[in-house]
Amino acid sequence: MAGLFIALSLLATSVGNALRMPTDASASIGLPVTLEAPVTELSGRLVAADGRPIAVSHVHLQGYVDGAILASVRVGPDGGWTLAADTTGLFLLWFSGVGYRGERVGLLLSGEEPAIELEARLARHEILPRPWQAELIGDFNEFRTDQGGIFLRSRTDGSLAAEVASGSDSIAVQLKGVAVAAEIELPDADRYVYDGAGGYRGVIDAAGPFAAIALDPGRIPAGDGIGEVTFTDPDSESGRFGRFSRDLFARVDAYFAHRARSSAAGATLTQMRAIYEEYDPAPDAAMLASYLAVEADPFVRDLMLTTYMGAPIKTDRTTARKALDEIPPGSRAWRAQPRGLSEALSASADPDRAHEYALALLAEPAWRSEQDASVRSTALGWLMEDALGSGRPNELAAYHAWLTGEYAGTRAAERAAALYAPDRKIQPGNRIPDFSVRSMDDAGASWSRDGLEGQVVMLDFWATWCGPCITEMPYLHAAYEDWRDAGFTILSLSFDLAPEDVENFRAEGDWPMPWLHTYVEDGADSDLAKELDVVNIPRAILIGRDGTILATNEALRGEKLELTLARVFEREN
Amino acid sequence: MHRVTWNHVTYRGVVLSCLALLCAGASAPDACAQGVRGGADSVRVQLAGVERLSSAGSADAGSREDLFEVSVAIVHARNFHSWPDEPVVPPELEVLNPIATSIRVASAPAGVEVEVIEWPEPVVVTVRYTSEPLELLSFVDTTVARLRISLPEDLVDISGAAAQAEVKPLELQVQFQSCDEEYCYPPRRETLSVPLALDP
Repeated sequence: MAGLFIALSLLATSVGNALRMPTDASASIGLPVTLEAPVTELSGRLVAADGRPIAVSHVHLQGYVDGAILASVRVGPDGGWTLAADTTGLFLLWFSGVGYRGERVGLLLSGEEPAIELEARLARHEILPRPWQAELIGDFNEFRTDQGGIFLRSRTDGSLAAEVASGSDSIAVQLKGVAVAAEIELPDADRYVYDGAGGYRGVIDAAGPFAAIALDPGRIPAGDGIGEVTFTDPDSESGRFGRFSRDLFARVDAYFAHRARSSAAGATLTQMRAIYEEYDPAPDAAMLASYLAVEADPFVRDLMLTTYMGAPIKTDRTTARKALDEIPPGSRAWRAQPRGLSEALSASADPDRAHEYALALLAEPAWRSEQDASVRSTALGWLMEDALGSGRPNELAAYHAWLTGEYAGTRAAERAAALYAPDRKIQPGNRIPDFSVRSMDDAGASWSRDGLEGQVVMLDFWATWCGPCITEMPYLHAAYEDWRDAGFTILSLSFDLAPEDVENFRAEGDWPMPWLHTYVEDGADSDLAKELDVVNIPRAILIGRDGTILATNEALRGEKLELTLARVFEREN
Repeated sequence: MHRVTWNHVTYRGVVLSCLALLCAGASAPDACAQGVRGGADSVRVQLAGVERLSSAGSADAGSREDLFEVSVAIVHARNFHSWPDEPVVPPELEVLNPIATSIRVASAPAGVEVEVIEWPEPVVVTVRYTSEPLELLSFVDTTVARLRISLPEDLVDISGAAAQAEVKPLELQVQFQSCDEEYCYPPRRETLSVPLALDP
């Protein structure tokens, strides 16, 4: 099957009571029926890992990329459920149960299978050893897990409690710091609403301006069993892709667990980077290869490659190149995961091939007649950022105009507008304004635009009080070592409170910064900062040998610095 | 009995009008106008990651009649955080020179002194910068510091319109330095004026 990704519409048939959802509830019911699309009957059983029924459980059909809830059905007392979908495309099927860890599977609806049957078993959450640093997140902090949570206090009877200000007659919350790698629902909440990602939020009725929340740790069920989702026909098209998606999600979870370990307390920045770099994507790629080796349907193969490339894992160059080699530019599989296209183009580390592929995709008649511009705008966005990062001003201006004109309103166009504006003074293609600064290391020396001509120079605005500036240090040192013999140097311009801060930093820390230094009196209030549009740091401007700006800011942050420099110097040769 | 409002505090016949306001950030104009009660004291701070900085006096300072309290509120822009009053630099950033959030008296009438500044507990903020996640103890959202200020006897007892012109305001200098996940704004020092006007 190929080319069956038609416009989304959905008919949701609910079994039992419809679930109250925290997000757009209209997405689950009352959607228009599209008679042209074949109806696929989805059905199965959802039970606990030990085979017992779950008191409150649901099945949700959601968008694969955005997670939008398209339909939810409540599971019956015997674990049975059915759902009729009159749409085609790639989706997520989430299985959730109050008190259980949700499970998901990728669901390919091609319209060629009239019925798909699945069985899901849910395990309890894995609970952290006590004492907990239990924290509430909720309406009051928009369910953000990184800030604004409220810690629960321990009481003498062993329970935990908190009071949360409530702007209405109820408040929805989740518990953080109790289960491994998950925010979970409160036991004994007045009711529950689905959180869109396999879990629930507990809703507490508030009698006054505050909701009193109490937690009995003994009421949190301990973990048991392993969650799983299986297709009754594992060799069907949906079954084959479903099994692949389960393995892909497991690899994603493993990658996130690795990243979490790398940020463990006590690791230095250098150690953290080493842990990140030591992650070996080979097992992930081998998993993909094992599926591709036996998959004969070209569209399903394309879909496996695009979803792999779009998954939040560490992709490798070989697989990225395989994706560009095997997936035709007109394949509708890109539509299922446009992020995979951007990742494949970047991770291939073959700019010429990637450029050729993106242009071929834009020329595809099939894409040009598509109403959905997500794939084309992604390709165009990559081309624009490639031109931005490698200092090709004419191409940059053309792609920017095309993207912000024809594809206005897309995510790629919004990003393009933020990265570049034709009338901005400090951006690639323009000549850097003249400047003159004095050396910190040599009282008699100074540097200016004209004096630095002949070298590729990166102006690096920074300070020793700036956390994001410090995290750039490994990348700056690596780039300096790699490219200084080719004529690259760095001029660091400090916004510190005193020049001594820089001297101490270089003398006492891990980062000698063996390049040019100047101290900017008055920092961001200085004439220099105003002339070069620097209001915050870190800010970087890469200047070519003739004084032309080659790249700025984002193209010079983190690992992108090395890539940008490689392309600048490759062009010279 | 003490009569406490945001604008002024009646304290043994002394009205302490205690409001100054500074604004910053993209949404600052609305936030600033909303909070201004004594417009003459407002100052705008551009692009510092802090939307509003304000102070208010209160006479609810315990049993000592020569004490009053000033609250200083630092309202961060969304996604911004500042180092707390006592920064703890994580090992990943061991060479960093953190700039603590601080309040000091820039000028005050003779005998007016800050006895203690009570800061709130910082919260954990996870930032990613360009590498792996880091956890920083930070001030976020609205941070309120409480200052216990002691008054000299002559100021406690003073009254009358004539004194309004004679008593200089308490000037507090607030320093903060804020960042989001990608960028940091340079440290700012802003002055809040806490007028010590007298109830006629």
